[in-house]
Amino acid sequence: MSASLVVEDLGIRFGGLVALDAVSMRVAPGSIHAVIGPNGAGKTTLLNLVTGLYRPTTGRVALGEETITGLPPHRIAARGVARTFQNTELFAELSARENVLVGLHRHLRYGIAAATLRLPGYRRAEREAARRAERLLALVGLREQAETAAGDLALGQQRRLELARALATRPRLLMLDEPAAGLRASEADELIGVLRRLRDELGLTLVLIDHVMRVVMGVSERITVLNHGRKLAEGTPEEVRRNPAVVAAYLGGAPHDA
Amino acid sequence: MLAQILVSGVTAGAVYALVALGFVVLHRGTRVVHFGLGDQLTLSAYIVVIGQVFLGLPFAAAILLSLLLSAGFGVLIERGVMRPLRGSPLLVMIIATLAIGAAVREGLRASMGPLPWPVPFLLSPAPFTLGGLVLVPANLAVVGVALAVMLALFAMLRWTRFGRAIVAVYENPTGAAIVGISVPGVHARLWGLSSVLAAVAGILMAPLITLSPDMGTIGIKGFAAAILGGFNSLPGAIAGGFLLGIVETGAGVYVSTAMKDIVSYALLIGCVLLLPRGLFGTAEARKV
Repeated sequence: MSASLVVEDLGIRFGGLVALDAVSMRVAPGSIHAVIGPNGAGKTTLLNLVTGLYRPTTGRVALGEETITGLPPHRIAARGVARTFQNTELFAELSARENVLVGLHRHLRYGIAAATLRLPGYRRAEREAARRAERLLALVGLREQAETAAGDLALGQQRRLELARALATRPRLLMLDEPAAGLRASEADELIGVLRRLRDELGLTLVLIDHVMRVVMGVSERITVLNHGRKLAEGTPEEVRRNPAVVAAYLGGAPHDA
Repeated sequence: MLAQILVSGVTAGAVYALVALGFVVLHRGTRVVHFGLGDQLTLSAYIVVIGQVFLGLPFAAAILLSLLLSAGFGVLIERGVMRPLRGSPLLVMIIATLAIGAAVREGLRASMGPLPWPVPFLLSPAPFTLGGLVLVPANLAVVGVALAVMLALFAMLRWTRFGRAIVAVYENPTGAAIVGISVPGVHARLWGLSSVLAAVAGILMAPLITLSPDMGTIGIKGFAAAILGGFNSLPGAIAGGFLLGIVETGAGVYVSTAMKDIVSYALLIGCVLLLPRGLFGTAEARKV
């Protein structure tokens, strides 16, 4: 179910600006891997390159054995990569349930004729989709808000809805962009529990960007540190914490702990 | 008198609403305003004539042929013209649609001649009176078919996988792509869908006015109706279409028939000046 992610010499330039410069990293299947770094270090750019929203100028991305460099985002999604966004990219006017149903899109197979005539195949597929949507909403604690428009949910709820939508695609690799931003300490601990369950129960490989050290240090097996678009360090949380270059560039004197 | 204006205006309004839907359905997903839509509408009516007169097809088969070819032509525009232009400024794409429209119009003039062709009515054009209102079966058929097509459109968007992908792209292309929906694929569908809506309008309209290569100018009426409706709202496009049809008929009755066409332009200009979001449009917050 889970897949490894291999990134080799990945780079992109926007005009004269090198946003990401020859970054390599290897995420073991079924592990939780964090990417940290100061603002503008290229973390979100890295996610955009892996998920196909940007096309890299250099380098290679592979999921398991398969190279996915430069594929359009929907093809990368079809290979089992899902993600959430820092500022969420939900369907604001659709209900929470409908957002999850769109996430199930790839797994709903029926022809337009079957839908028009409401044939049994269509009804079975739609019933099954409705059940899965229900379960996913319950999983992220949004069962009560199923009929609420995504745009009307509180920010924390929107984040959880986006997670449910990502899970609906049945990913092998899930990438989360700052899921802990703005959470209280108790909520951050809850998030750590959720991330571990996703890895252990669904067998997902997780890549996580975050500034909240409580979460990053608490949950990741390995951490990659980016700075100015380059890889600064990589290792276990302990190694990264002790790395003088990281301390100087990022942790400095004031850790960004919540 | 007012009731009669309503009844008569609704016929033209139904057709304007279909054309307006064609504009909005496409624009919401692709941001392209397709100025060749009016000429595609003419082409579809001509295909019915060609099917009947030159291929000897029954009326229904000729209509089916026309709808299929129209959908195919729309998809072809996306694949052959719009996809290669991806990444160029929006204005370039819009100018390309003007070129497509001109090519269709002049191609029809060159091949079919400038003279009008007769197109059969769906029902009898002989009017009858009911409760003091003059009704025309052919016009009622236009309204009925248009309403059925609109209902089918909304049902498709709401209840099918095909339609849900379209709505997802309307709402958030990035979010749609990331869950596995092909945005270029949806764009191709939208071109096909928009072309079919225009084709239905063309086939309904052709018997009521005369089918000539310049029939596409009623595309401007549909455009005005779409602007009235806010240009990004599907129900708005329908309301705009009916409103325009009724106001136009009213102006024709109370002022003069020459006023009819002026009204749609006046509404178009007035709306852009005073109500840039139209009657039903919502403010668009575009992320930068």
